[in-house]
Amino acid sequence: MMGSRWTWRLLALPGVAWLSVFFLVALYAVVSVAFGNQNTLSEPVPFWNPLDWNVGYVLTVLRDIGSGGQYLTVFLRTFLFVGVALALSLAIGYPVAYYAARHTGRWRGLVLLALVLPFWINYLMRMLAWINLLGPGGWGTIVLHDVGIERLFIWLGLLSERGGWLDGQPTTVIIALVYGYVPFLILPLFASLDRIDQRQIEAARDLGASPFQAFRRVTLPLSLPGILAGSVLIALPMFGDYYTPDLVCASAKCNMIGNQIDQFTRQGSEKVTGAVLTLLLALVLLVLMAYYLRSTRSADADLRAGEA
Amino acid sequence: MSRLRNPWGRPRGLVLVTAVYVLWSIVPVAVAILFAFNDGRSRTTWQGFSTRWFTGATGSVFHDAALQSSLKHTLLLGVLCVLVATPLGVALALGLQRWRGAGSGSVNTVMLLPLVTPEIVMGVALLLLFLKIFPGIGLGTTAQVIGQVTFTLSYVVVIVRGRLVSIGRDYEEAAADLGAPPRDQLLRVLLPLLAPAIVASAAVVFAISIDDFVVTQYLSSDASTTTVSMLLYSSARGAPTPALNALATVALVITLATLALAFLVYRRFAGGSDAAVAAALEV
Amino acid sequence: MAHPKDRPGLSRRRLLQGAAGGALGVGALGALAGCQNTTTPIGTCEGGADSPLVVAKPTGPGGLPLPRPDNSVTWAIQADNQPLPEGRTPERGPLKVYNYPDYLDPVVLKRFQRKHGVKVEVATYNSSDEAIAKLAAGAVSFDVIVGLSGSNIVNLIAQQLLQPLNHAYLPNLEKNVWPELRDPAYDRGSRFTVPYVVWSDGIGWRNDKLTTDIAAMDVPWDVFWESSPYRGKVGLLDDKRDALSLPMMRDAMRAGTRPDVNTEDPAIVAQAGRDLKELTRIANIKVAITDYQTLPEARTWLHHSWSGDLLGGAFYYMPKGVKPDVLSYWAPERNGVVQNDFFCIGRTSSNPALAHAFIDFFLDETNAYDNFVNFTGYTPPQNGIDAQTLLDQGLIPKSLERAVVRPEQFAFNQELLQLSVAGERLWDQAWSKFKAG
Repeated sequence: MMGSRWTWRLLALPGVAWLSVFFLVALYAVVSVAFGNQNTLSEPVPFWNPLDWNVGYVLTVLRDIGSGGQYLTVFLRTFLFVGVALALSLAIGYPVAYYAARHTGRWRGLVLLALVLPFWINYLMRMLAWINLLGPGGWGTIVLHDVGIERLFIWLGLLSERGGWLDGQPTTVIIALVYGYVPFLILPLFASLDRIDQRQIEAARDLGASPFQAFRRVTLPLSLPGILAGSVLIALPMFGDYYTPDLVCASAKCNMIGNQIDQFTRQGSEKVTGAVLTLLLALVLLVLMAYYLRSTRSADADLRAGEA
Repeated sequence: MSRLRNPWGRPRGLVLVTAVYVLWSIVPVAVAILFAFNDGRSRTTWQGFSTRWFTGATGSVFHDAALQSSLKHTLLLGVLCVLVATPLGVALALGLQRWRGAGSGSVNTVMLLPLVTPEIVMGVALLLLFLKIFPGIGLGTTAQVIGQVTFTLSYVVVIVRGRLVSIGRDYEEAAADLGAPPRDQLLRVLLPLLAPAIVASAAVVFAISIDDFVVTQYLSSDASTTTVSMLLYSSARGAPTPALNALATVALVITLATLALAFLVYRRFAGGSDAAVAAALEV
Repeated sequence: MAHPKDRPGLSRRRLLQGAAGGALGVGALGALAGCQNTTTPIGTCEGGADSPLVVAKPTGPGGLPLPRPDNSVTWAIQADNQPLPEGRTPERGPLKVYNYPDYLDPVVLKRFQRKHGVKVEVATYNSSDEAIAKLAAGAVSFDVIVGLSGSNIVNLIAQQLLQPLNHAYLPNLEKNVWPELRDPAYDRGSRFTVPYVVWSDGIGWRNDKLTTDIAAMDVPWDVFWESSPYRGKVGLLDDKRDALSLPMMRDAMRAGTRPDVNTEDPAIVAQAGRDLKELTRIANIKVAITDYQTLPEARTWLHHSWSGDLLGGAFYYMPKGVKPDVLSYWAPERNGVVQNDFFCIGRTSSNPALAHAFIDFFLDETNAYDNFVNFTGYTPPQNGIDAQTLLDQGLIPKSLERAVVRPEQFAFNQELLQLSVAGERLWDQAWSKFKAG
């Protein structure tokens, strides 16, 4: 055995110390400011001691949410955008990951390269590319019009006027979110699908299952951990996105919780409220994370029970 | 894990979906790169080919001080972030993987949290940290590097740990049996075996750092701490010219070149292309 | 004597300095009890103990007095913050400038850089709130700050972010600048600020896309609430003070009264926020300050605008083949918002002489003119620039003649000035409610 167990803990120490200070303490700073106050110069004043915490600002925000005010509207709208974007991302990403994992053979390297490429392109550049295309007279607008998609969207109520892709449309925000985040979903999905043993599927086919049944009863359940992991990986950061709505839609109808937090914190109107909203967002995401962890643990248990 | 040929033929639907996805994914960026070479000021109407936005006399990437400074600063942050995050992350990965007993679970959780924390939460937290707890450091390059290291650390740990798992302890034990002291086992056996993962994680950290926007913006101080992402964001809402496309193209080329370099180094260490790809997928 | 409730980050010295305004006394330091679990800022809980014989003037951040037309303020020069002594030569730089985007002509900037052999780095902010937040965080040090106005001055002074100017370095101030603006109510004696440009708040539109003759309407401000035919192509300025004052001016115009754009009446402010919210429903209104580009490019057709944006758009941002007379501008002659912003020098500037030289450079008649006509479109308050001549020369289309501000307009219109802390919060709340959709 190499070294005592303290060697390993010592090795981990710098990293742990770093994360403790620059992550955990930083989060505590948010909590302290959220339960703090501001002075007459509108600077935030953190209250470090939990016994001194001032719940004034937190209560104001909670009361607003409880009475259906602006924060509740924004939170719900954010949930809606993320939910739809996640569903669309799965709908697009799963088939692509499936194809890349199970069918490509000779072209595998090239397909993988094409899937990985968006990772290395600056997110903002990809968004800007879309803004160029969807502006008035942009090639994207023209194509969407000619192919009839524009008419379809208007008919479905997803687009309010011709060529108005960038004129305050929640639809554009959702599509932009999908475009931005789906590459981050495809890779974990791919990894998970790739790990599924081909022989299990063949066994199912040998036992008389059709390709669709084999997929539904073998592949899909086995890829569930990957679906969950990928969903968490993109949904949680999506909740905090503010630059995507800002770039493709400057209207209040697209305002997400990230925009509110940014407004209060960086654009300076009230850092304490910004901290409160950040705290609330983190708590909501913590709940989702806990749900994910619980469901993966029970999914693992099911799988093990199934294998027994 | 077997890679037998798919026994039921070519799935045309899936091929189509994948092809459409790849096009949808790449074409807008290709168009954006195209317009970086536009002759006029428009970013939507093609007015002829020209390299004026790269090397022209006015308003081009090479002649505009603000654009150049943002590019330099972006690269500076990327390099610094890699230099700090990689050793820190490798050490943490080694320590975590071999940690026995109390605390490993919670450390593992804390290590994973930055991966799923929205950047705005990290941005606000770090902003308040550097304003209220470390006002001596304040905002600026140091704060930006610290912020970027904090959330890229997890990527290094995850990648290196994956490789550690597949290497196992056999090589170290063999070295121990041959009488090598623990330090040699680590430095001369384990680290070289980990080299591909270390290089891969360094490349990932570099790419993430270059792409980063929220944390970098929150922790910036003045014009000298502006990065390419920040410039793209602020100019996109103002009066952008194709110089912006040119700037993004230059940044993209640098990132891709770095990655290609990292991949070549990685291949050399991992002994051949097949082994390299296989090892990458283990990761 | 430190009270147990004194918090780090709030020094006693700051509180005592705030007492200069009269709202806080030394005794108030001990009376923070009763302030728990509220949103009342620390230090204002106990209220002021002013004399009941006089109606107290409103106080702002740090307890400082709020400048108003009937309450001009002279800012004191502190012993530890003296103006630059005479006779210094400009430093080597680089000069750090903090500004709105696209608000200083790059050609004129290059001219300055060549003249003094220095580099100028410009960092930008998108709203005055953002600028104050960044400056107040103390994390940045700028030499020259451009674009802030009387609605932010008290914040700047209260947080001691500025250094006093030495007019010996600014000969062009006396020579060229309108007398009306050389001694403003918000900074008597121009001790800390010097005017940059002037503008009015109004309506900008594409007369080739809109069929309405906005200038001929009874209450032109109403056009926003009637803009559903132009859904998605309507814009509002991304500044809470300018934007919320729009419905206030509309209501006042309907009633024939004079609006108070510095009001702190909760009912009026909340109503203004609700009126703006209607615009999201009616026209899916965009919130931006980029009208100087979106109007010429027809990405927006109707925009709540600062007058300079229209001229700047006409001078610099028209696409090929589109003539500037498709742009139109209207602002009320009276009871509107006419304002100026200023240059100021950061307190921790390491290039004070160079900073003074920079300001003086832009107060020079030729440079100010070039900056205006070639790029920004915002009228500099220069004696030598005659709006009528510009119109006669055809430099400005007839449809935009109201975009040129004249010195007489200041008397009939209002400036957006700094509010008290409570007032600021009122406007913040109404604004964030509107922005949340």
